[in-house]
Amino acid sequence: MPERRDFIYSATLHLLVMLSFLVTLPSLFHHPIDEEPPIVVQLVNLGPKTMATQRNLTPPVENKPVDVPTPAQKQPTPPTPPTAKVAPPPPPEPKPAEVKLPEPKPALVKAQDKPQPPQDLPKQKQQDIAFDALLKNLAAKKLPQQAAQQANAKPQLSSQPIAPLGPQLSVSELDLVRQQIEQCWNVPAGARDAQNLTPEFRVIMNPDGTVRSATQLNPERNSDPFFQAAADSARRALFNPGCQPLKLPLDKYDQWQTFTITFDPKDIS
Amino acid sequence: MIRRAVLFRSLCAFLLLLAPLTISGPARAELHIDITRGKVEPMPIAIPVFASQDSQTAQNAADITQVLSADLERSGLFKPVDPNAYIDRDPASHIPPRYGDWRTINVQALITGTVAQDADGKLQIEFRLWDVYAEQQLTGLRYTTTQANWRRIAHIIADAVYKRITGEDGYFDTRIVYIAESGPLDRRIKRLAIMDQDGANHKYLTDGKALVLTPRFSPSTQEITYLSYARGTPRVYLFNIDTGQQEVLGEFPGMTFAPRFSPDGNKVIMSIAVGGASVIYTLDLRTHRATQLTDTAAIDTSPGYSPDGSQVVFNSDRGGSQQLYVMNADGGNIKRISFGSGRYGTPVWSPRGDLIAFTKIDNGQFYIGVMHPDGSGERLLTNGFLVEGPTWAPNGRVLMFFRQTPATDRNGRGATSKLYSIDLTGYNEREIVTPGDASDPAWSPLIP
Repeated sequence: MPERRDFIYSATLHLLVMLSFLVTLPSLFHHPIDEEPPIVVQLVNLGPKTMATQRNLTPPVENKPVDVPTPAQKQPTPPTPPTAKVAPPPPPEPKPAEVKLPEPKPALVKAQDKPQPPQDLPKQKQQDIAFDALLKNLAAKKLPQQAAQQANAKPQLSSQPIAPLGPQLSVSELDLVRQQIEQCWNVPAGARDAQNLTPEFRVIMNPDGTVRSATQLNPERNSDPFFQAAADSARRALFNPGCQPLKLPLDKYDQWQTFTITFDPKDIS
Repeated sequence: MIRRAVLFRSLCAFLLLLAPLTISGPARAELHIDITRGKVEPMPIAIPVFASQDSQTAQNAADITQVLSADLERSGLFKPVDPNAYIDRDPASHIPPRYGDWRTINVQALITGTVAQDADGKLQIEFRLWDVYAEQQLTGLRYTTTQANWRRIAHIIADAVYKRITGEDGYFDTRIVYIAESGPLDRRIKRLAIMDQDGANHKYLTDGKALVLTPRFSPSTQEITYLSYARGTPRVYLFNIDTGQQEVLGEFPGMTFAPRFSPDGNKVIMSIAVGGASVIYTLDLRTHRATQLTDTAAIDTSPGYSPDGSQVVFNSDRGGSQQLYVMNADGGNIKRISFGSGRYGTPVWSPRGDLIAFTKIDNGQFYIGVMHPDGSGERLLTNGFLVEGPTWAPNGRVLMFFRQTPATDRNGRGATSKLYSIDLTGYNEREIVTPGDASDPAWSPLIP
C-alpha cells in the first residue's frame, strides 16, 4: 500500500510538473516564433523601398504663429554689460570700437521653454540636396535634382559595421532615424578641411523619443572656430523641433535611451 | 529510494522552471549612430528691429537691421524669417529671449540689439546672437561710433554673426572695385568704379576718357592697381582711393598688363610684352626695382601670388595651349597644374590658400572653376556664353565674376555685362546690382 501511495504521490507530482511546464513555460516553445516577426519586418524594410527612405511621414502643419500668452512672472533685471571705454575713432569712416558682451544670466523660468512637438515640419525644399552634390561640379554633370533623386532611390546603408548596435534594433529602424537627423543637419558645406570637423555627442533620450540632453564628447576641439561652428550645427540638428521626436521604436527604449552620435562630413572635398 | 528519486526529479523540474528566469541577455554595447550626410539649406534667422531710445535712433535701428538682414540673406546661408510671423515682436536684448516663441516659428538663430546715443552724440550699438535650439548666447558685442558710420556697423555685425555660425571670417565689411561700362560697343566708355559689396556708396573713380581694365585691390592699403590706356599704350597704374592720385608703375619699353599685388602689398606682379612674347615681372613699390621671373618665347600672363607669397600661379601657352602653371616666387620650379580639356586662364589663388579659381574655355563655353594648387579636384561652378575674371572674397568662400550675354541683333545691341557672386558650393549665384554694365570686379580685403 505504501508503494501504491508513493506511486500516486509520484504520479501526481509528475502530473503537476508536466502541467506547470504546459502552463508556465509556453514561451520556451514559442520563443523562436516570437523572434520571427522582427526578421520578417526587416526583410520587408530592406527591400528596394525601405521605410527609411520615406520623408515627412507626418503631414506638415500649416505655419500659423501660435498665440502664446506673455509670461506673468516678474523678470529679474540682469547685470548691465560693461560700458565701452574706447577712444573716439578717427575720422573718416572709423573702425568702430568693439566691446564683448557677456551672456546675461537666464532670467526666465524655463517652464514654457521645454521642447515642444514640431509645429511646422519644414517642407521638402528645392535646396534639399543630397550630400554628394553639396559641392556643385558642372563637369560631373550631376544636377542637384538628379543627385537628390538618386539619394532617394536607394536606402542609405551605413558604411560602419553595425556590430555595436543592439541585436533587436533593426537596420531599417536605424536608417530611419539616421535619415531623419540628416534632414535636420545643415552641413558646414564649403568650410576648409570640412572632413576633419567631426563633433561627437552622447545623447540622453526621453522615452517619448525627444532628446533630453546632448553632451559633446570632444569639446576640447571647439577652440577652432570651424569646429565650434560644426559642433553648433550638429547640436541644432539634434534639438531641431522638425526632428522631434526621433522615429525610434518606443518599445525598445532600453536600447536607445542613451547613444553616441558622430557628425562626420567626410564626403566634402 | 523511490522517494529520493522522486525528490530528485522534482528538484530537476523546479530548476527547469527557474531556468528561463536566470538566463539573462548578453551585455549590449552602447548604440552609435554616424551621420555622414546632411543638407544645405539657409538657416532660418530672426532679426527683429533693434530697440532704440528716440526717433533718431529708431531710424538708425531700422536701417541697421535692414542692412544686416540683407547681408545675411545674400550670403545664401541665412533665411531671415518674415517679421509678421514673430510671436515676440519686441524682444529685449539684455535678457535671454523666450526661446519657445522662436522655436514655434522654426527660427534657429535670433539677433537682438539696441541702438542708443551717448552724450557726445555717438551711436552705441550692441547686439546678441542667440542659438534658439541650444538656448544659449553665441556672441554679443557693443560698438561705439559716429552717426555716419551706421552702415559699416551693420556690415561688421553681419561679419560677426557669419563668423560665429560658420567659423569663417565674414566678407560684408568690404568694397568692390570694377569697370563700369556704358555707350555703344564700338565706342565703349570704361570707367573705374567702387562700391560697398552690397552695391551701396557707389562712386566713379575715373572720368572715362581713357580705357581702363583689370583693377586689383591692394591687400594692405587703400590702393588699386589697374591697366589704363591714358598715355596711348596700355600701362599699369596705381590709384590711391583716399587721395585720388594716379601714378604709372615702372618705365618699361613695351606694354605692361595684368597687374596684381603681392600679399604684403609691397610688390606688384605683372606681364610685360617683349616682342611677340610676354614675360612675368615683379616691381617693388618702394624701391621701384623690377625683377624678371619668367623667360620665354610664349605668352606668360595673369600672374598671382599664393597667400603666403611663396608661389605664383599664372597661365601660359608655352606647352601649345593655354594652361595654368605654378612656380616659386623667384621664378624657379615651374609646374603645369591644369590637365583638363580646353583652355585655362585668369587664375587667382584663394586668400585661404586651398584653391585656385580660374576661367576655362571648352567647346565654345566659358566656365568659372576651382582646383587645388596641385591641380587636383577641379570643379566647375558656373558657365555661360562668357563668364570670366573670378575674384575671391577675403574669406575664400565666395567668388565674384562677370557674365556677358550675347547681342540680340546684328548691330551688337542687347548684349549685357553684369557682376555675379557665387559661393564655393556653386549653388548660391547672385547678381551684384550696378547702375550700368559692369566687368572685371575685384574684391577688397576686409576694411581695416
